[in-house]
Amino acid sequence: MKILFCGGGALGSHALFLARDLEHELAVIDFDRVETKNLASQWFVKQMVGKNKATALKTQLLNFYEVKLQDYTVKLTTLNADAILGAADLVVECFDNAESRRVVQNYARAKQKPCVHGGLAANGEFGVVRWDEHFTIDEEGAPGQATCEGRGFLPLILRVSSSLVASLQFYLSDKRQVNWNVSQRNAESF
Amino acid sequence: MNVLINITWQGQSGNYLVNIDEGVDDNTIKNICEEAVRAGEVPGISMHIPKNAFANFVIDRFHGNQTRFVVRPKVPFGV
Repeated sequence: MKILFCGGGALGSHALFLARDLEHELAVIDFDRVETKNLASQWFVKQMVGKNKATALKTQLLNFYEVKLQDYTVKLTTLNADAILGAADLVVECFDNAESRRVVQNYARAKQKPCVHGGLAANGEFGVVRWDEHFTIDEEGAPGQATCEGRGFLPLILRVSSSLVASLQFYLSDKRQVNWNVSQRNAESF
Repeated sequence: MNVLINITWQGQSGNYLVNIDEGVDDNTIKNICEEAVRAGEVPGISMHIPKNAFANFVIDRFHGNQTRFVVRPKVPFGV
């Protein structure tokens, strides 16, 4: 089975780190580059600054763990969705904007592709893991709105990432679709 | 019907079981939540929340053996 991670930022990079021992083919799509500020909240080492995030994750997984990862270094659009999403059997969506999330959701629903989403609140107080049937795409706030990019958010980011990978494990085991609410104090699955 | 409402507020989280119509609109649910929290009926969440605390929140509805509404802040970022 090929599992495609859409977005290699805070959630996507840590989810890939945690999913590295899944006995399935892994792929990631992200057109963005690693910036120094990303080191505080994303799974990148400083040597990766300036590299494409998908390629950086491929390099790290290979060098640290000898795990292979296919990297798509382009932006996902409706024009390439069929080629990229269509090649995956399971989609893990962790994008940081509503437009890209819609591309994934529309494709997954049209093609009945299993898809699980991860999302974080702007101030880092809450996160969700939702299978697509139950996922509402929330629009970003005004430009300049707080994000979880700064320091101090790693515990919540890792909780959401690990819940995301736990949901993958349940699905790969017996097709169960487990959703999560994750706050700073607890994580609840249902 | 009995609906389990899960409420998240500033990192705190709590459940509130209430008998309501499952088709009730979002604003009514938010008002119910605000009153319940202020009355101290939601363990895990401080009673001291501002007026219209949940105005910009989103409500997810899950229908299964136990109908569940999740009242949560928006989650636009994977970052």
